[in-house]
This record gives sequence, C-alpha cells and structure tokens, in this order.
Amino acid sequence: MKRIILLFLALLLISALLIPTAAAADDEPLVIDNAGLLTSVEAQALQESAEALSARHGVKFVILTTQNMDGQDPRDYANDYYDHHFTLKGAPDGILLLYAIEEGDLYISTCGSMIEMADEDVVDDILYGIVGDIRRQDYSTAFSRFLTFAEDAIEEYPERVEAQKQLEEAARQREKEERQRRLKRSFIIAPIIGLLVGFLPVSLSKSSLTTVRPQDGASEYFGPEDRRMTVTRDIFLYTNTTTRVIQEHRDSGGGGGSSSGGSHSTHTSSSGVTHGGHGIKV
Amino acid sequence: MPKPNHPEIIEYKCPCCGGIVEFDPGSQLMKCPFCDTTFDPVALQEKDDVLNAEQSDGMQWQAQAEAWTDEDSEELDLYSCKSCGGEIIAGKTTGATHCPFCGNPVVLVSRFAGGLKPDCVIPFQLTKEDAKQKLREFMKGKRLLPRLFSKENHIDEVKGVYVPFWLFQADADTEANFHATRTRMWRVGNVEHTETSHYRLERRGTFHFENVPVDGSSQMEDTLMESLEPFDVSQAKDFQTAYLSGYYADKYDVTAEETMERANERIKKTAMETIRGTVSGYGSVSTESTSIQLENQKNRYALYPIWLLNTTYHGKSYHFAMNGQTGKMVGNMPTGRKEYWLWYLLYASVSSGIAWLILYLLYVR
Repeated sequence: MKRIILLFLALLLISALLIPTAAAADDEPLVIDNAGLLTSVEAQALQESAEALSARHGVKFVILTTQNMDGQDPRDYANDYYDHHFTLKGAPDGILLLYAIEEGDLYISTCGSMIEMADEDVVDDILYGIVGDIRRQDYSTAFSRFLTFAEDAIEEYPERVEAQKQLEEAARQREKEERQRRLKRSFIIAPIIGLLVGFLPVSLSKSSLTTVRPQDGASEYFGPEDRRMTVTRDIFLYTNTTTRVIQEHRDSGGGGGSSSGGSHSTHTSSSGVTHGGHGIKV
Repeated sequence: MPKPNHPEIIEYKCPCCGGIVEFDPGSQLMKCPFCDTTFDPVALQEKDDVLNAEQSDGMQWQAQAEAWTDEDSEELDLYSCKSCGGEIIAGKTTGATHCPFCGNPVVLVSRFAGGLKPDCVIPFQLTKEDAKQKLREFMKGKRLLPRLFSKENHIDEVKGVYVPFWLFQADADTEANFHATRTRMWRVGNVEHTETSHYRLERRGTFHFENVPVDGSSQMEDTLMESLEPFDVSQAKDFQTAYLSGYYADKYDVTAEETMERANERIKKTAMETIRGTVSGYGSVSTESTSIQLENQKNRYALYPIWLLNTTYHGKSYHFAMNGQTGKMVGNMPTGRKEYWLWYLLYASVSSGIAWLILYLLYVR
C-alpha cells in the first residue's frame, strides 16, 4: 500500500513538472506582430487559424514580425525565438515565419519533425509564394498563405516521402544495371590488361638469357683520383620573362557550421537545438 | 710441309719424376699432376732454361707425306712434341696448346719471343671444375631456359685460353661547352610570370684512363670478350711462359693500331659522361661543343685468362665464357618455346586477376 502511494506521488510530481511547461507553450501567442503590420482583427483571425492548425497537426505554426533584429542574423533571431518560446517549453516541433522590416529579411525556421516535412525545396516554395504579397504589403494574405502552404507541406509529406522512395528505388535500379554493365566490361578489360602486362616479366626473363653485351664505356678504368677538372665556369648570359593571364574557375562554397543531407540542411541554434530552414531578402 | 720446329717448344718437366708440370690456379704455382710437387713458375723457368741449354740431342723424324701447299705453310706451323715425338700442327697465332698424341701441354715460345712478348699476364685463378660449377650456377633460376637444355646439358669442351688483349692508357683532355637555362615562376593576381635565365657553361678536365682493354684476337668475338670485363690488372704478373703451361694461348693477330678505334670510342663516351655529370642545378642543358685530346698514350700487350665452354643443344652450338680471374660467366642461351608460353600464360593470368580486382574496387563497385 505504501508503495502504491509513493508511486502515485511520483507520478503526480512528474505531471506537475510537465503540465505547466506544456501549458506554458500552449499559452504562447502564435502570431506575434511586434512590427504592427496587422490589424487586431487580422491578427486575431491568423492566431485562431494558427492555433487550429497547431492543434490538428501537433506542430506549432508561428508568425513573427519585428521592426529590426538589433543587428542579429535572421537565422539566429528566428531560431532563438522559437527555442525560448516553444522548444524549451515542450513544443519542439514547429515552423516559424520571421519578417524583419528594416533588414528586409523574410526567414523560415523549422524545428523537430518540421525539418523533414518542410525541406529546402518546400521552404523555398513557401518563401517565394508569399514574398509577392509581402512586397505589396498585403501582410494578412501573405501570412494566411504561409499557414496554408505550411499545412500543405505537412499533408503532402507522406506523398513526397513515397515519391522520394520511388525515385530512390529507380536510382538504385539504374545503379544496379550500371554496375552489371561495368562488371561485364571488367571481365573483358581485365584479361586484355593481363595479356599486355604479362609480356613484361616474361620479356625480363628472356633478356636474362642474353648476357653477351658490349661495354658501354670505360668507367671501370678510371677512379675518382684520375679525374681532374681544370675549368668549371658558369657564365650568365641574359634573362627573358614571359607573362600569362590565368583564367579563374571559382566554385561556390557552403556556409560554415551547416550540414546538408538529402534536400535539407540543418544548423544548430545557440540553445543547442537543431533547426532547418532559410530565408530571402524581400 | 712446314719443317718441324723442335727447339721452339717448351715442356716444363718435373725435376722429381719427369712428368710434365702445369700451372695450378689454386696455389698460383707450377704443379706436377703425377707427384703433386709444386714449383715457383719463375724458378722453374730458370731451371728449364739451364736444362734446355744442356740438351744436345737432335732426334728428329722426317715425315713422309704429301707436300703442304704454300697457303697451308703460311697458315700453319709444325712442331714436334718433346715427350712423344708426335707432330703438333698449330695455327700461326697459337702460343700454347696440348700434344694431340700424349696430351702433354706445350708452349710455343717463338710466338712470344722478342717484340711479341706480352708485357704482362693475369694467371688463371679458377680451375676447370670451377668453370663447370659456375656454368651450372649460371643456368639456375633461368625460367625460360628449356628444361632439357639445363637437364641434359653436357659440356662438349672446356678450354682455358690466354687471350691477347691490348691495354690502352691515356690522359683524355676533355672540353665541353653547354647552354643551360634556369626557370623561376611567380604570380601576381591572375598573371603568371616566367623568368628564364640563360647560361653558358664551360667545362674542361683531364681524365686518366688506365688499362682499357681491347681484344687482340680475331678468333675471339669482341662482344663476348667485353662482356667478361672487368679484369683486375693489379694482379697481373710479368710475363713468363710457365704461366701458359696447361692452357691454350693465342698471340695477337689484331694490332694495337687496329684496336685503337674501339678504345677511343669507350674513352670518349666515359669522358663525356663524366664532364656532363659536373653540370647540375639547371632546368635544361644542351651541348654546344665538345672535344677530346689524348695525351701520354701508351699501350701494353697482355694475356687474360678465359675459360671457354661449348655445349650443343638440338644440333646448335652454344658458347659460354668465364673470366678466369673473377668467375664472371657470360653466354647466350636458348629460349624454350614451351617454357615461354607457359610462363607468359601464368603471368598473364595473375595480372588479369589483379587487374580485375583493381577494376572491381575502383570501377565496378
């Protein structure tokens, strides 16, 4: 009986620790219009839509606007905001759209399962799908479309995964066929190489049967003390210089601290949380 | 028919038993094969000279045979063996041989008399048995040699021959001029600069060549004789006919003047290579002019010890020669057709396997 009471108390304690954080993440507003781009009605409508989508898919849909980022990088700004308000409060899966007016940065940060569901191509599609509305300052439409596109990305994810699997399977099949072709070629090329290379040792063995050869010189008949150099003079004559212009071929390099795998790249925020996503200039 | 030349023959008789003594390479002394007594070659020669002076018998046989033509007489000489009286017919260049009747070694001293006397001789250091053993070792490990050749190989003839050589000595005053370049490259932005510095290199040196040998016998193949080099002339002795006893010997029939061209060719090649070797540190070097002046030229006449071995395979004779001083063996051997293709297939199969493995790892996988 005592044990059951202790177990119950432990469970109660764990629940007490967990519930407030979950509740805290749920309490966080999903539309944070610090730049004041939306009317209260628009903000409320977007908040309700974001809440509904978040509840339906178990993923946080966040819209954040700001006048400026105080010199911060949009990636760090978006990642840190999401980490502090959601990840550390028990909601690690989500997508955040950041718009910084002064810097003109439009950035999407993905976290948790959304890194896979909204890969590089999807993030690009969303950004270029709404940037026109942003430029027209039709922010409500832009953010509303962001929510729609983000939801589409989640719903279409299984199909994309399936399509990806088929593509990979087709690539594997092509690779297998190519390997078969190369294997056949190797069975033809290897004997040709062997037949040619085989001549080398056999020719060496044959040459060892012939030892009657004329002497090349008379080096055996004078030693180091028999040679006396009387003139050793190196006279500089002239110098000529030619020039040539070299054509440069520069390859674009990837950013530091990032890794890419398949069609998405990830980076680590200051909180140590892995994020995906990228941004564009408006 | 040539008249027998009895006094020109020398047989070195053992003072103990009267047997004919021979030069022994192992002890470097004259040795009697009958009583095993050994003698110093010089001492024996002196003793033999005294004995020869005492001899007064002139028992000579007049052979009754068809007259020799003048041509024969020019090419051959007839001698009478001191031991058995048998007639020894020898070529004009033969200096030492064996009596065909009693097998005793004889030296035809007239071949080496007066101005024809060699300046030095390198005595044999290795015996006939050594030569046979070296030939067996020489054939070992030769994969393409027909198995029957090495297995059934029986040596038809082993002859120890003193071959005449001309030894040339000269100071080669060598001069050469070269054009050389040195290149330096550097880059400023996307422009590459190449600076080429040109130099004239002058080199002059004197190289002292000593004892460059050239075969003085037309009967010996020049390339075969050159293949046997080098000989250590520091071990050469003043010429004594005693060293020739038990061996064959030829006197030269190619003069020093006739062999000079080959000596010059070899000296020039080495002198030029040596002077070219003093040029270093340049990117490219081309020769502009060269010249060689020989000074203090001298030549000596020497006899070098060579073992000649002959063998027959499938009706064809194969000649081997061994340096009687160092044991260096040379000779061209036949290639077995069966052995050639078997080894070729083996090498080709192994190479194919390795090539396939590399292709599999780098290309297929």
